[in-house]
Amino acid sequence: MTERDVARKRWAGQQPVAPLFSLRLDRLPLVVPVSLSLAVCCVVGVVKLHVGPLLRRQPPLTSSNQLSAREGYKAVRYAVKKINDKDSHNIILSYLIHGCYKDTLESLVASTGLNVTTAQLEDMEKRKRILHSALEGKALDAIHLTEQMSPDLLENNKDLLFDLLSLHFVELICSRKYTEAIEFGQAKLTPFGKVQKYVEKLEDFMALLAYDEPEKSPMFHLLSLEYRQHVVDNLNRAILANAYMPSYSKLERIIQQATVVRQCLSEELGKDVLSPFSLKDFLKRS
Amino acid sequence: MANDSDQTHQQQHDLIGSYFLDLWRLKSQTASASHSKDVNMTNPDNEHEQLEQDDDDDEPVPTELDTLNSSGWFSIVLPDKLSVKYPSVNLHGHDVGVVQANCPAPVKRLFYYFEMYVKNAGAKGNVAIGFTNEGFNLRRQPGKNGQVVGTVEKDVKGRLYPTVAVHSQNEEVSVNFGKDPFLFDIKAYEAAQRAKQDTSIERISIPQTASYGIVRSYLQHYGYEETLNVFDEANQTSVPPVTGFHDNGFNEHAMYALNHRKILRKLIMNGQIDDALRNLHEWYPETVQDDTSAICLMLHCQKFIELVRVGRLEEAVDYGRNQFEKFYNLKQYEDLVKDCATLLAYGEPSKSSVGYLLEDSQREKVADAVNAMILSTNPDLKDQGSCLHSYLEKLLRQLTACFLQKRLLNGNQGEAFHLQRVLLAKNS
Repeated sequence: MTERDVARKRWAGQQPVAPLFSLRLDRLPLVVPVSLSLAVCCVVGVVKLHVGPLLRRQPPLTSSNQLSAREGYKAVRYAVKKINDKDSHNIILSYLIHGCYKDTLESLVASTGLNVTTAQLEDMEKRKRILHSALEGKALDAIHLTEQMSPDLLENNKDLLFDLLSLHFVELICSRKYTEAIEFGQAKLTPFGKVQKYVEKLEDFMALLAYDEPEKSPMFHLLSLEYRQHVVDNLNRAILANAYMPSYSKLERIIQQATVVRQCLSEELGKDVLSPFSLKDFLKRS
Repeated sequence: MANDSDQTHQQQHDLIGSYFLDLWRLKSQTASASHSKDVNMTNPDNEHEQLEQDDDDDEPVPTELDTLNSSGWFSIVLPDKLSVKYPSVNLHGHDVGVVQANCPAPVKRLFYYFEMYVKNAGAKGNVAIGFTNEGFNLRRQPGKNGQVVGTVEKDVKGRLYPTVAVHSQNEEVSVNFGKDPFLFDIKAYEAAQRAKQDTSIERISIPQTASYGIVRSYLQHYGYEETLNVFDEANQTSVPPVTGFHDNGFNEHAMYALNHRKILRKLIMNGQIDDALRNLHEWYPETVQDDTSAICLMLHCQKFIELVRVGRLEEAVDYGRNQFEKFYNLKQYEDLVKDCATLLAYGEPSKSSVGYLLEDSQREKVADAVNAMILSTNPDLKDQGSCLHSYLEKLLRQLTACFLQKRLLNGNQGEAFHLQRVLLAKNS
């Protein structure tokens, strides 16, 4: 049985229903004394559609409900049909651009006739170089290239600048160049300490110096590939945002949306009707 | 007669074939609809936008005050049907003059807004504004000079009418349902509401392998062999390497016949239909065995289209005469064959209502159909439906269906699901 069938079955079930809202017909209309001035008095008649607690109960299956249910299912079928190839192409395109998959993109463009400009490809190449430098531990190169490409970016993004500098610091520590690390740390990282929010981070990094085997210290995660990837992700998003491009790929967005709406739905219909959404399971199903 | 397994095979094939014919038919209908609206058809984005708007525009909106159901003696609606005044002198508590709009507030949108202007506050200034249904339950959301003062959550199902009321001598108000610009900055409000929605969604974290897997399966599914190889290579040398899902048997069957599918897609996208047919007969004869099947129709029609494209019209006519006859007998194909034949009627067919046939999107449909047919010959195939879509489309369908189901549970109120809006949403 599809999920729709289950939901439909539940609707048709004769479950006792508490009234959703009782009309107080005996109540007189409330009268609002409005300012006596003759100025324009604008009022907002905004009806915010509040979903939450109402839907814990099942609406009774009146004839108007039935009609709207039928309309609803028609709408679903129709909307699903309208998903067209262009959407898929755009989504894949946006993923490849976001991840700087230049060669893959060129190959796909050749096979499908999608449109990508040389300017877009060049920008991707530049961004790729920046991100790869940072990932390979050449954070100073990354900073330099970023400043070349977008001069004000790091100035306006101090958090990111700190994170990139910290990558270089970590690189020095991992290469056991402790003197250099101290010098670099004091010159470049310590100045950030003037601002309260950086103090804790700064202390964590500097503390790495105290350990013979920093990878066994409590701050070992700062040396990890995951941390580096995290900083590089932020750098990628910052560069994209700076160029007025989306900082999240459309595919990410779609998956996020699907997760959210599916979770909402399984909450509303109840866990016995719709299992909680697991992206992994969904993708495994053929 | 063909034996049972052949027959079921055939039926299964035609389920796939007819799915793609339906897609073609949908395209034909929207193409002719937008063509007759004088929309520039060579701009596919435009056409897509049109489709998006149709859903919500159908809903009626209030335009003026209702003069039929009035509160009797206690209010007078002026001839412009946008102003109300209180006539008599009585100041009894019950003597409120309430007037509703001519139609309930539309619900298929993010929010609905209207304004009231106090022309004369009268003796006591007892005007009111809000929404009511058939009874007189006023819900009021007072505002002042263009700013939101408060809102009331709508916890009622059923249509609500924008309503105003007057109560004391000489009071007069007028309403604005949108004919004139609003004082309240509605655009800023809308933007703020949408931004709030976006932020809550942005916070959901998803594993990196999810996107990666979907993209990879897309390339596999549609037979983009070369691109897949480049993609795999890029990811092997990537830092950090993407791992963690090859193990799950993620869409294994999509590697089936990858090379053949790639070749066929290339041929079709290049308009080389004869070569494509030849290859199909050689490699997957069961898919083209029945010459009246949906897939054969698509291929023959495409050949016809290609001949028209290069101006070999006589050949096209001959080909049509030979091939289309057998399809004319099959009612379900009539309209599509007709579309193809119509191409001959125009000097500049690309500008006609059937011009869509000459676009790449038509070639792509045929390529996708052939691709699906080949996938269906996979002996390890468990689910026929998986031939039709890659995971990406499945995800999009799931998203659409869930969204609309959610709206349905809310009494069918709220915005329609617009995939474009999700795709174009601003990111911080």
